[in-house]
Amino acid sequence: MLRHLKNINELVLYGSISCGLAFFVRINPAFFWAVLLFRIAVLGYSAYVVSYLEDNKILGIMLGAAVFIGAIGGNFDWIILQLTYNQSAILMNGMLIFAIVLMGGALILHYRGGSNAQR
Amino acid sequence: MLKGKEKEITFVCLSLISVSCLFGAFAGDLQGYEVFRQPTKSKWGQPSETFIITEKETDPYGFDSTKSKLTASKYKSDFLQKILLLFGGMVGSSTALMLANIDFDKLEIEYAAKKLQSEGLKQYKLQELKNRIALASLSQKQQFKAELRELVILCGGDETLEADEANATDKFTNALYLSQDGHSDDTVVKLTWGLDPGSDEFNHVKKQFLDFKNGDKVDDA
Repeated sequence: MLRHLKNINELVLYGSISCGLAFFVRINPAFFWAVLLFRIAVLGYSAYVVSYLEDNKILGIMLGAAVFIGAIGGNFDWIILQLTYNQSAILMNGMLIFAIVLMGGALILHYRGGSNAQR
Repeated sequence: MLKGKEKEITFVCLSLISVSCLFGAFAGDLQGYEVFRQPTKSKWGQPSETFIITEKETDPYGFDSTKSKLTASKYKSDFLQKILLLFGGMVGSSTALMLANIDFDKLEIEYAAKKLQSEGLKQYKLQELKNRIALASLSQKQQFKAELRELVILCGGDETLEADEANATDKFTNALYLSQDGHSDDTVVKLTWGLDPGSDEFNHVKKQFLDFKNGDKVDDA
């Protein structure tokens, strides 16, 4: 468990650095291509580590995940999410799906299996 | 400084804080913006186009300022909060990693030892169960044999069958088989016991074998 937490900490460190780079690029768009090339290089290196090398596979996976996190966290803003997705519809559908799953599970537990099963 | 359990707890708390800081930095808007809706009708029946214009983007593709209408705006950005959250995540994770580099290996070893101990206990219990099952099967076998013997006696068989079975590997019985095959007594004794003919031991064993052959039971030589 502690080992996984340590890996998550490393991922957060690399991911926050990547996210900071993305913010920097959005404020200074002149650096867009440089940072894009850097990202592609890091992704390629992580792919090379994961596919060819035997050691440090976790480091390669973490670098790739950090680039991914930075790309998502740095480029998506709350306003874009609000404009592109219909929030009320998402909420409604989610609640409906949740209720359907709960009811189905309760019915299944009622008729087969469980301590209060009806046979 | 912190020790043992306290260190562990601070490590977990710091990692949780850093993760929440990183994902909190995703929310909010980095720059101020203006949202324009431009009423157009495309080939696929799209009613309108939306343009989000920040300070840096002066002239996006297809934007016409005379036709479009301002629908939303936000001029106060969350730049500082986002940067601070990112910084907090970075600092929290790096301090947690520094804590972890000192002596978390010891804790890992302790956990591994505990795991091994519990595994050993499990193995011991499994072995005990196996032994018990083996004993039970053995007793069942004995019971079955006894029942079979009683059945044989009831059907008119001989109870002393068992004794012959037990002595099947005896040297006297083997010698008896050899003599029944047609060998002379001297060669039989020589073959089975490996003694030289003419010695005192040979004569003694031969006398015992002849007694056994004529019907008397002899104990082990």
